[in-house]
Amino acid sequence: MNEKQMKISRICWLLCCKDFRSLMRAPGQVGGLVVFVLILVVLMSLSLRQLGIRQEEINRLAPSLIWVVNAFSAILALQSLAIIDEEDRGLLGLFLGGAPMGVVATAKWLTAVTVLLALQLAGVLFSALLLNFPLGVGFIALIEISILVSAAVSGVGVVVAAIAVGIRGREMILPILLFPLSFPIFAGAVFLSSEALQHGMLLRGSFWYTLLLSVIGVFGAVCIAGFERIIR
Amino acid sequence: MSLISSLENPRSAINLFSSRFFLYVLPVVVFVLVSTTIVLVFAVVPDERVMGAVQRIFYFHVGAAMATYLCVGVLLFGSIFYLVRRQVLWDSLAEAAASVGLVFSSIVLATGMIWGHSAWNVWWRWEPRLVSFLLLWLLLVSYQLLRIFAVDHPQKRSFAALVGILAALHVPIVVYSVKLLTATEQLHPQVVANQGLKDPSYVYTLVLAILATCILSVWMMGVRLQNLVLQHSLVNHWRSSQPKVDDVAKVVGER
Repeated sequence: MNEKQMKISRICWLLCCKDFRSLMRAPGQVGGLVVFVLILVVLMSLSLRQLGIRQEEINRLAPSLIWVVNAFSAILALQSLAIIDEEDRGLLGLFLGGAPMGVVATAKWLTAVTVLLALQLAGVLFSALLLNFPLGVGFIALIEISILVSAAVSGVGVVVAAIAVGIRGREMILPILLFPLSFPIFAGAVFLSSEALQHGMLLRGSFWYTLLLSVIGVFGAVCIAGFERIIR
Repeated sequence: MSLISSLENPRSAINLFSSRFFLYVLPVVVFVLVSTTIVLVFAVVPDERVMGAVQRIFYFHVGAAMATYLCVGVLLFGSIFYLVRRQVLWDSLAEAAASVGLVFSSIVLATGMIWGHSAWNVWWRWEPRLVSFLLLWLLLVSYQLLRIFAVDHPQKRSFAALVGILAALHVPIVVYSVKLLTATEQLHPQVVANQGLKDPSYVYTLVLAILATCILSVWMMGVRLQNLVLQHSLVNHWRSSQPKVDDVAKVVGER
């Protein structure tokens, strides 16, 4: 790594640390996100148990339920991160400080990936606990799927959340903008999770895996490259 | 670049839309093409062997789909050019394209559902091609909602440009991904790909329908763009004619 690359990676690391520190200063936000995931899982479990659905059917439905919960929690997490930035004027400070926008966008993306990944794994664990479906060796594959989904959703979610936070009706506009863009991501996650939980393996050569990788590449590149022209 | 700069002048845009070609020639061409298509569809092409008369909706369905893709292409072009040039005309072009694209995509969904109900006995199926088009429609709706919610925001045009680019990029990702699925996994008819248009009248009617709807969409985009350019010109004129705060303060001070 040459000197310039080390400087860029150091700036990126410092910005990630700054974002995490901002998040930790709002423990209510963090706790609220985890509680929200739990509430969703409880609602799903109750509604299924009310109908007397058998455990075998719940095991088959489990991937869909997990990713519905994770989709909503991703929206809330991205919105929270953007609101924290807006309230403490962190982004404005970075613009005035002259930090390269590509590095800022990458740091925000990495922060969002980490937060979303943590929430998604929490969602998986809560779902396994309350819906009683076995995780088994498929859990390792689920972790990889969660990483891919977090990266894909964050790639577009960070910029869309930054757009939504400054306009009227931000609670509504973020899911309205983000869900159509991220639908293929969650559809792929459901399919891959289903295969992982049933057969314990991740289908890396499959169409959905390739689609997830291409979405990460395309949307991430557009959003990181366009961060300066759009958010600034 | 001088051509682009001259086009970005609102006066040039207004002159273009006031020209004889736009006011007289293009509407007549659109009328002739659309009328001819309707006559061909309802009076010339024979009934399809399996689906009968319902199959005629295919010409409007496919034509509207091609017009939608054309509008999304213009949306992408306008959004990119706005981010590069930062001229309101390109943003207006993107807005016009998104509005017209939403109309035609709604037609595609409606005609597809009518056809699907005859073919599958259900209004909707979660089939890749249908879902991909529904997502495109939702993105175009989101674009309009963003424009409404961000109407007072100083960066509304940049935001809309980003969403426009993402919506346009979404199309090839999903269209390409549909082609990766095998024919048995796709329920949507693939008439042209499977060379199902045996009668020549089917072929030239389809080509004419696509041409008619595309030119209709171009004309509609032009009308909408003209409205937006005039609207912006009026707003700018009103703003420039308002007394400035300093001037008002000076007058009040003098009194």
